Amino acid sequence: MTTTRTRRTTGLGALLLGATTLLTACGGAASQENAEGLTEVSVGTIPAVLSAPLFLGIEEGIFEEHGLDLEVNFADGGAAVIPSVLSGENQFGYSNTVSQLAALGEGLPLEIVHSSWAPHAEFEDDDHGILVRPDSGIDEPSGLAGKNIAVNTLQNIGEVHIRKAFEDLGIDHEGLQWTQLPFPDMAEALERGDVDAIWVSEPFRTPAMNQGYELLMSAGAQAFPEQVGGYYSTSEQYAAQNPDVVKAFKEAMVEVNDFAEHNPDLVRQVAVEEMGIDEDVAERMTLPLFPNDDDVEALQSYAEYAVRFGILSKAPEDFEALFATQD
Amino acid sequence: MTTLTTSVSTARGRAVIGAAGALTALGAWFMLSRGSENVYFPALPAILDETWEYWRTAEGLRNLGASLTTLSLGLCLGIVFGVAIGLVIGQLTFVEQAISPALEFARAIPATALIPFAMMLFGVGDNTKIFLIALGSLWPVLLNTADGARRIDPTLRDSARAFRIAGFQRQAFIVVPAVLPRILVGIRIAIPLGLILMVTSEMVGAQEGLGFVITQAQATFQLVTMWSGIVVLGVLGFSITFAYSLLERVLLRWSDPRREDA
Amino acid sequence: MTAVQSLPVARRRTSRPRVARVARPVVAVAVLIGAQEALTRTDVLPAGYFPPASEIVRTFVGELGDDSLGPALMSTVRTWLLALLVSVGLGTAVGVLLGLVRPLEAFLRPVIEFMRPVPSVALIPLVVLTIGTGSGAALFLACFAAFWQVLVPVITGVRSAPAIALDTARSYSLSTWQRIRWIQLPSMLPHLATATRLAASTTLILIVTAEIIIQMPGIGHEITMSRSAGDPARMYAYIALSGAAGIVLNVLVRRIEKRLNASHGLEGSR
Repeated sequence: MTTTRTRRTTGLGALLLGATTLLTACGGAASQENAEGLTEVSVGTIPAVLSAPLFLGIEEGIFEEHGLDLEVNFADGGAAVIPSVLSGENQFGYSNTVSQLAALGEGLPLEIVHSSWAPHAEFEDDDHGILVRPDSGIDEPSGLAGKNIAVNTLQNIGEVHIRKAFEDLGIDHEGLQWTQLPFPDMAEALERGDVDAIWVSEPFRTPAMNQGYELLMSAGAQAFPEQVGGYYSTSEQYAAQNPDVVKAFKEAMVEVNDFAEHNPDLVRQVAVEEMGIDEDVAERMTLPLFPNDDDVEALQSYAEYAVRFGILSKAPEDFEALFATQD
Repeated sequence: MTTLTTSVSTARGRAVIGAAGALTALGAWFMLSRGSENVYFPALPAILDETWEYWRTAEGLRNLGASLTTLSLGLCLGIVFGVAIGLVIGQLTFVEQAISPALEFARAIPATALIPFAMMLFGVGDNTKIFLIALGSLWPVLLNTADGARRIDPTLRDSARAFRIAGFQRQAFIVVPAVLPRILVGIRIAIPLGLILMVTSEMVGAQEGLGFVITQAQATFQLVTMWSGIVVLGVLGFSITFAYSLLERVLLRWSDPRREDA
Repeated sequence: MTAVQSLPVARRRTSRPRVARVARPVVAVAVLIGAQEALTRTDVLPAGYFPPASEIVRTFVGELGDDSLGPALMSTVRTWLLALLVSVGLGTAVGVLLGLVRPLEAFLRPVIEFMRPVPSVALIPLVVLTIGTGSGAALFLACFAAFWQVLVPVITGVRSAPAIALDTARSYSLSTWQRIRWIQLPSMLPHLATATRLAASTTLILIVTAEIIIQMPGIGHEITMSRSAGDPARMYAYIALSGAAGIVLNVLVRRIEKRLNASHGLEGSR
């Protein structure tokens, strides 16, 4: 009859074990210091070329100079990064402007720390592009009206860029259809004819162009040239408890972005080494701008258009207050 | 205390206590979340509002319709194939012996592990969903049918042979009614599985449906909409399971009036 | 009991030797694999989607030596074990309580009946937001789903003590506690055993699902990654692994179930 007792003890033990696991899974907001006195922080981001400066900053010791031991964690899409920042899994996270605005508009306790990237003004130089098959019969942007475009996340920055770009060019964007696909799957879908055009970002743009797909336009360059397209943010909780770390991260990022702007070859090199991008692709892919821009105007512009296009239901009220540090 | 214990022993007593329990639970949720500032757990009134609002719009109905359509199609396919193959396996011993290990292996594969496989074949869309739901719901039906077919009362079998009833007639009029209770058990297990596959495939490989709405709402941080989707899904799951249990009871009584309810 | 239901099923035993009985499945499997190989190599089944079986096997063997299979398998199994322990533990504890205190059970029954059919996958977005994307999320989802599957049979089991045993307990004036310990809990065990088996397979499905959707490390994650990377052979290899894992874990749980039943003199039940 010991079996029943043993069973109950096992059950109780499992209960405690389970509870402990669950509790530890809920992230805490205290900062961790490692053996060298550097603060350990992890940054969540997406495996796109805009993240390369982070690795550059680690390699060049810029983060170390500011007292930070940085670790980069890749997530599937910007929408997955923000929850990880809020739950404490990552201390900082990258998300594009529209995702940030969506979260902030819904009242999530997020704070913007620093700018990440911006589209070029010339569209050949930009790291995003809309591609079509050469035999599609679509030669100009106006041919895309009413077509099915693949974006990596629905109701997100791709749509905002494309809709505004079309509006600027006088093309109707109401009839557009959208299909959500991860970047690596886009070329195949285009080939199969599942979609008419793909909105794709480096490092997937260059290989797709190498496959013969035609670059029709760059929506970002058209719609929001040189306006910040993504930010690093942190949770309100973390910022309140660790203002120095947040400040250190921001100051480090100013240096990192500057450095990346002036050393594009090093950016390409680190993309190959740390991000597993093919050397050939890294050589030929286009890099976005890495600005140090705290201007709220870009944010306001994005918010305005996103709400207008029905992508955001509400915009934040006080834009200045969204930033973690005001200098 | 004694009144409580005695009241539980009558069906009506239990129903009353149960109703009280349900109301208390709902009331508690309502009161606790009413002034909720927490973004992740919005106030129940807000959720209910949104549920009433969104799911009656054209878009909401379209998503709901898409989910129900694919679920029904997938389940039908799974049931039809499950019964057909199950009958074969159950009645032909040599087929069963031959296929059994392969079947055991295929069955052990968690249905959701096949999502990438289905997406590879059918891309993003309804066919992926239907395929997955059919594949997942096939197994419980197949196994239960086979089991039932294997255990058909020899008296029935012998009578059929004596009256020279064979082939299709035998299957339709003797085998299937005899196996029906087991088939119904299989379907009962298949339904929640189908629901899970429906939601999961909508979260990954679809542009429409309940799972899609829930995931999209989460991606755009519209948590109230997300919760309304969860509520609708809960209600759907409950209704379908409940409706089926009624159907099952009716069918069982019709197939064998002498039978006591299992 | 009518005559139709009373006869035991008599199985027609073939007099074929054992060798033949083993040979059939082996031959069948060989034929199936051979057919697949032929169909894919001749492109009847497009090789892009269906690599030949030999290639799948080769990829699988390659993965064994590679660094990803071991950790992925361990990750999945580890989370599965934890989820099983927690859900069975919680389910038994709550089930026993509810089984013994009838009014409480009647009170909570509608809540249970409503929460039970909720597909726990519907909670994935909520869980991702609150718990995150680590194994805690998968653990919660798996436990939530399996908990109900353990709860209901345990409640039934506690109640299923045979009336004779209860009468005997009363006539020997056993205390409530003794009655619970020696009669009602043991009668719950066979039900618990079946429930554990169900919970084992449910938790595995949910963990693999979480790995696919939330992109947690594990077998499911490897399957999705292989598809995105355009490597169908690897994808099938990992799908096969998930099937093998399912079988092995199922066999293990059955062994434990048998041992439990045997220790209570309930050999060969269910």
